[in-house]
Amino acid sequence: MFDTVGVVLPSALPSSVASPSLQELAERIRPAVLARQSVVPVLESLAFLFPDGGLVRGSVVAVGGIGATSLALQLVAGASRAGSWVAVVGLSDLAPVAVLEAGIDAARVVFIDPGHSGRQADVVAALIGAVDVVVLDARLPMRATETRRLASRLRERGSILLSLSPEMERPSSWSADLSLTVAEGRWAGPECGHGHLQLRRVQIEVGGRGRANRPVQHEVLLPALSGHVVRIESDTDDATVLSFAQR
Amino acid sequence: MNIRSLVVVCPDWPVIATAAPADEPVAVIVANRVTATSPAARAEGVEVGLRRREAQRRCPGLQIVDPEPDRDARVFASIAALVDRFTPRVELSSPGCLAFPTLGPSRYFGGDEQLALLVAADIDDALHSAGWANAVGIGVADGLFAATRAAEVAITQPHHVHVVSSGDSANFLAPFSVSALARPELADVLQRLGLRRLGDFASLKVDDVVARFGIDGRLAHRLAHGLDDRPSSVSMPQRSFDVTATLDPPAERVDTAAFAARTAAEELHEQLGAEGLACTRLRVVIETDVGERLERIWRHEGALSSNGIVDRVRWQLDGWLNGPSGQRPNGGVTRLLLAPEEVLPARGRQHGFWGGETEADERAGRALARVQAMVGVAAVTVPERRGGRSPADVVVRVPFVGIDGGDGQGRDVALDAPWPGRVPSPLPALLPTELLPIQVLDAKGALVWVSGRGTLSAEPSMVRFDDAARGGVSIAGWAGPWPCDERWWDQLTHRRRARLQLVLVDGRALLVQIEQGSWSVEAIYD
Repeated sequence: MFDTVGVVLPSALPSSVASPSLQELAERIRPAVLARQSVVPVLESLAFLFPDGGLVRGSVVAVGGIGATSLALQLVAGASRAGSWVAVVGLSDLAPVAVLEAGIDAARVVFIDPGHSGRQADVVAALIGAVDVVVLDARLPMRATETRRLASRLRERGSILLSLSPEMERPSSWSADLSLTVAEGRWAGPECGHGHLQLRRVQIEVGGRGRANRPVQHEVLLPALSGHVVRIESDTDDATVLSFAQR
Repeated sequence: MNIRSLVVVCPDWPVIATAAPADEPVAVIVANRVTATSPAARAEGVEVGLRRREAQRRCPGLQIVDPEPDRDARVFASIAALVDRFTPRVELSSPGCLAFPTLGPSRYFGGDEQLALLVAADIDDALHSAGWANAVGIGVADGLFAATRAAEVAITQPHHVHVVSSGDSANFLAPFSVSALARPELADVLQRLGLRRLGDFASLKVDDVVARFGIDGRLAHRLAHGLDDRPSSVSMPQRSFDVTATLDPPAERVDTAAFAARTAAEELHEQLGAEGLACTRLRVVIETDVGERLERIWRHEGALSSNGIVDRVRWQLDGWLNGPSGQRPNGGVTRLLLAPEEVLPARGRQHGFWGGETEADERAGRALARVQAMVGVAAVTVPERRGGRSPADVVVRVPFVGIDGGDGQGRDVALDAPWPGRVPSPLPALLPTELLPIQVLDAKGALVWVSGRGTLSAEPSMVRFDDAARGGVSIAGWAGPWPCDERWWDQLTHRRRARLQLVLVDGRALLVQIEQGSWSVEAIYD
């Protein structure tokens, strides 16, 4: 009924106005419930990656780079916790244990392996509208006409498509509304024999269309010691990273 | 043939089992939707199916509890034990709902009405002492569907009993709304056709119903007639699939016995699966070393998965071994018997797999059925927790047909066991589907190997992937080796290997393994 996605907060205010209190006020009067109906929530610790505070219904999100799989699972975990269904198409090498470890509800996730049937586009079309989040293997071949058709179906039905290209530099053929690229991963933990992998520091570049058209870079721990994502300041050295990691 | 049955329903059971006071507003929330409420919460307008936020808005003091099927079932065992006095054939479908055929008991206790009153008095007393009044209903009718409706009606009646006389089920059901069929799509169509009551639907001709609504419509039509909806494909198993687990020494604890049940359940599942069958009704018998015996029949709308079977055995054990002191057995458990009583072809009925908990679940279930038709049944899988050392064993993919929605919830010994030698968290996100052979080299370019005592021959410094003929990627850090000797008692499945975690200079991290002298990538930390 009311489309509130476009609600823009007044950001440029005269300097004489006490801006913190105004922002507080704006937070308070924002129509929270209506706005949230068009945004599927992500985990609170990840909301900073999204210009709209979550996964916008009807949008295509591309995730790529080394570490993309872990990031994608974390992105979906918030939606799963809020009661959304998640369907994973392709990605036959995805470890189911990592899916559950990320916090995705085992009772509302399903894996579909189209294999060589060549019907991936039909499968995705059937899932759109029925499940909230479709995670699609970007390695599955898909024609441009099909991606266009699916993208318009997405907008109509309000599902979210997450195109995932694990271990690849650049995400797929989809024209994504939001693209997240993971780069410069540095693991900590193993030290010449002892210890084990514990945390990884990565850079995430957020780009895309609309409100995300200006690329932004964030430094995060993926995962931190808790297993989740923790944001760190970009100029933090590795020694102080540990203090972030324990949060 | 319709069996005259007595049904006990307790719709608030998930709330009662939490031992919450009856006069406080409490709601159980699954996947952001209310699935059960206390009377106080209902008085504030909290209804089943509401979103969490909306429920909290209507009743700010609402206490929200997480679902815990294990606890529900354990506490319900004490109610089931009360009914044991009347019949040995208690059949449980879910915590909060039980049924038994009245044929024998009814004659002994002086008629359906008398029997129902006695049962009602016993259960009502037990609930009353916990502070819950008007929480149970008992219905007697021909067929489970009619008896369940009668029980729901009975909750608000003086003695909590409603008996539908023999042969009168169809008349009794006629005024109910078609939504009672628990088939929202069908109910929607029927209502738009102007058929609002079960009686209207029942008056249609069978041929017309089949022509328009197919097999499932036919089942619904049978229900509306007061007949049971057992699809014709359900049958007694042609041969015995009974599986027995003998415990020596006798198990005193639930988890020890449940561990034996897991092996038995998997064996049963394999046997049934080999003949393309799934189990819808299962008899579980537990015996102790001093000759005590507890027998229960578990019924499931869809089909019981092996995890579902283990869950039910554990509920039964838990309710017995940890139940009220008067009902507890004196000996340890020595024998478990799993006997399927009804089976159906494994791809038969898909209703109720997902518990039908929310509308979203049903929508997803329907879409997945379509997807299965496109890419094949085996290509659609869901995760199931097992237990194990390697990342691939801890959680496996199982076909989504025939899985009841309840698994993954229950915990199991195999999951909590320490599994020495397992890979530590965080676990890798990618498991290569094909074997990826590699070479792990030391600083001099020689192959690194692991000795029988689990030590490395030299520090690894480079990985060479087979597809890149020359050169390789330098190693920035490594951990291990972690030797792992699995199933040494079984020659066929025995595996002996050692693992290393490698961090490469390009930022990738791998879990590699050496088995019989050759290295391969087991998993990728992506």
